[in-house]
Amino acid sequence: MDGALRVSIHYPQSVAVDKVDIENFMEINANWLIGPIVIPLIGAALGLVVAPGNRPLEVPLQRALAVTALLANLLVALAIFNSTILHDQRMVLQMGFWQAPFGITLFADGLSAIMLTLTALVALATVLYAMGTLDQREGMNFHPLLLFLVLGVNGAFLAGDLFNLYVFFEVLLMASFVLLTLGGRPAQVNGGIRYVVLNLLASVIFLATAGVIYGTVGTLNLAHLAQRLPAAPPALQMALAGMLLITFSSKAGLFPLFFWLPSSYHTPHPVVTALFGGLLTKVGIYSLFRIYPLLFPTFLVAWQPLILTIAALTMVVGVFGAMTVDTLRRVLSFHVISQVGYMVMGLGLAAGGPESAVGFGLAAGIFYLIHHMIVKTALLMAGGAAELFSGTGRLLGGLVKQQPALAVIFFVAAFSLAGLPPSSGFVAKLGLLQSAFGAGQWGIAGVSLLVSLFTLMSMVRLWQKGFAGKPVDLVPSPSAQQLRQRQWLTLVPIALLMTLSLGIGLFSGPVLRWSSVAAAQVLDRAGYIQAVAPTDEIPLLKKVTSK
Amino acid sequence: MIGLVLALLVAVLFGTGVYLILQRSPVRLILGLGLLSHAVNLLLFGTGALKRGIPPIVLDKAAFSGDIRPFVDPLPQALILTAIVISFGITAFMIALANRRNNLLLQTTLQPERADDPFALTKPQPQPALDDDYEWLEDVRNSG
Repeated sequence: MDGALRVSIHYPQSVAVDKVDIENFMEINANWLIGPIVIPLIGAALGLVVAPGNRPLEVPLQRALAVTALLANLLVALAIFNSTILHDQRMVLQMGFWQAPFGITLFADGLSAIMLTLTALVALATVLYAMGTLDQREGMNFHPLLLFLVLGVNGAFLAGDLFNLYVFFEVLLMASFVLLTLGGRPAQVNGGIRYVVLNLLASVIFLATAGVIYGTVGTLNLAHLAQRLPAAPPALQMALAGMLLITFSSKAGLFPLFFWLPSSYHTPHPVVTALFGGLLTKVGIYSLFRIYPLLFPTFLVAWQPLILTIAALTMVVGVFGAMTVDTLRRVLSFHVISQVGYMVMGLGLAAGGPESAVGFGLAAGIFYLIHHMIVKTALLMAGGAAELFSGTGRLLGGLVKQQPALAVIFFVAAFSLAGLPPSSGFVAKLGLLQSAFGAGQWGIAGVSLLVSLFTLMSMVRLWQKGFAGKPVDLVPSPSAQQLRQRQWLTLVPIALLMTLSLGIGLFSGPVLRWSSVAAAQVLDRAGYIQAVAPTDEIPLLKKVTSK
Repeated sequence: MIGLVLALLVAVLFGTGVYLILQRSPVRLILGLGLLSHAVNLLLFGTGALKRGIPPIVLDKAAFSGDIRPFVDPLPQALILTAIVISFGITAFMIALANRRNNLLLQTTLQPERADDPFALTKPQPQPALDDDYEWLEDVRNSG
């Protein structure tokens, strides 16, 4: 274990992939970067076209389209992963050959590739899970909406400028609004209004920030901004860094701005909750990981205490919030918040400290992100399955006798979340702790250990109240009975995700190596700028004005 | 001068929008969100030069002097157009959501989760029969 964790950080020479390497079969052209955006779009549009009437036969058709699109998406994501992580490169696509600050830039490095791959995996697992659990009411156009959501998420991971990041945020939000209220039950409408308003406010702040940045710095391209921002007045830089921090921490569900999450995540169908828990807040975390080291490296250092405080408070509030609520999915929603704090802790540790701890902190954060996306989706799926099988979200007890297979899977997932060996959660937390000790941040290390303990307590509480004990004999509703017949369909995707999590825990060496490659690429600002290579002037104007 | 007027307008719109969002009524909520997005659109508009100029298109390269001062930056307007489309879609969705809420209120009573739920209009009442416009689907569960 110790050998695997001692990772040397090397700063790569960045190479923009712009031609097909014939020697390497798997290496792909940068044009493929458009794939993760266009493939789900086509799948979603076709899905809406083939199913105009929500007739029973149309849902399988939409599902087949979704599976096809997501598999293609996964292949492209894996190819990008191969090019960026395994070959240590960056991929840049200048749309329509417009030079960087003028055109739309799509950019992928190791972090984007990891996120794209995980998004495809989580979405595929969700489609499988939906097969077993969705009834017709919630199944109405679920699959096209899922693809629209994946389109927005993928786009946010690939966006090379701030405005496109905003646009893709809106795309994924729009899809998530509809998914959240799909079914139109009273509780969903209630939760939906809160979710929409609070997310919209964050979007307004984001757009205002983009406007201020364009008005003052004169560009929105991330690489161009990275070149120009250090020359901007410090007060302006500080304002922009603060506004972006507010925006992204609201999207990610960080401490003062998390309240939209627990008031809405338990209302939709469990499939939707699992998807949201796996994907949505992570887009905010990704944006923080991307924007801060690139645009505000000085503030990352100067605000390290602030970021670490936010991380600590997020962890603590999330885990204590989980103790105050009593239905399965609400408890798990609060744990989403608490876990997000750990990833921000990785970002905070990326800031200061010795050189070795810098890269390693972010690498540990990225590893945590990988672990969390998989385990949280699995856990929310398992919680949702328990809720659907018993017909209520309340913790009644006795599920271990009624649903032994589900209980085993839930047990494994819960312990991975709490961070017990040999799960991926253990390695993720160990990595963060080691880098916190390396950076001399004893406070945050202590808080994260305590929160781990409370997470374990909360999981034990769920187990005792929900799974152990005497079974309560509810009269199952007709749909719950139907679900029990299809229960293997429900359990297989959860089991697959948990196998993946255990695999990451047992063979953590390669995954940690990939995370550190990604972290090194994220921290290498010069490499990013060189890869995108924004020009400061139009050649034509330059020539004429120099006369 | 025109810049100051625009800045004041943006400030007033932001203030009004925030005030409306803090109200209870869903209609005011929607209006407030609309005003906020207009405020941001005007803010974006202000980042371009507020002047009468010519479109930044060079028709004759040979005759072009290289003086870019008469041109107007077209990018803010492209950004605003995108933002308008997005806020239009979201407003439409919000109206649909509010309409759905009203329909539910007419038929049943929204069951608040907490006693101080700001979106609940009345006290918690016994669970009414689920009767909404999804009833044509066979599989409507009673779990609410």
